[in-house]
Amino acid sequence: MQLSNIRFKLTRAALCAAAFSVTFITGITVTADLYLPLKNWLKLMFSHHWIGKGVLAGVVFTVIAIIFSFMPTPIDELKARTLSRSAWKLTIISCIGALVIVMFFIYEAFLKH
Amino acid sequence: MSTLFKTLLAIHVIFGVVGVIACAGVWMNMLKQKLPVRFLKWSSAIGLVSFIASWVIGGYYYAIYYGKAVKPIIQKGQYPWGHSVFMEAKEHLFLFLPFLSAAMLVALLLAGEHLEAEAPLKKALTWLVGTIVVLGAIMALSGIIISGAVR
Repeated sequence: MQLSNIRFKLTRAALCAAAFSVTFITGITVTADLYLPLKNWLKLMFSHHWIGKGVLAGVVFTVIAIIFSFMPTPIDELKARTLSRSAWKLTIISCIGALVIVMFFIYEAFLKH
Repeated sequence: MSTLFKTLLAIHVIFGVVGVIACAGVWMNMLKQKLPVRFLKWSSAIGLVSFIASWVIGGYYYAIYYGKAVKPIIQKGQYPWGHSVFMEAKEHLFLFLPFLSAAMLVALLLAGEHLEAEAPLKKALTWLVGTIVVLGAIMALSGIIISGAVR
């Protein structure tokens, strides 16, 4: 793949940062509902727990994107495979995250009590 | 509900639907052998901007009005799961969409010209945008269920 190193790095950084953000949102959603001090802290810091989750996910995206944009570039022959693996990981993580969130709220609504 | 919140809710829905349609446009065109790269980039950008706008406007409505005025009505009504399952899942799954759309846009902007020659990458990104569309459609359907649960 004749993709320049900077274009490859930024594309990989965006895909990986999104994967980390989605994982973070899934984790903090479940954790904050099970551990109320975390939810209260989010409310206290950001006025609403949902705003807090969004802002922190944005911070995770930015930090991970910066870290990945400094990571080494593979040889040209491996660039396309690396990017497609990152895109697959992001897709799979998003599907699992969505499933976890939906199942968690079904559990909270119908099965917890 | 005041005119302001009615308007905000309508704009939130419109931007959300525009975002889903724009991403569906990307999805359908990613399935073609000859890719209209310029269209893909613009459509993906419209999708991202629409999702962010829908996120901010819907977030304002949700944080300021929904919790105090709408949530109690749903919880006391016949369909409390309208909030406890659909709204709770919707508000958190919605957080995924701007990040997924941003990653998709960056990939198309920076690697879009190489996708025709790199079938595995094209396939992976097609699945990614398909996931965005399906999640967006789930958001829209959840919104309809939540609106129905209030009545």
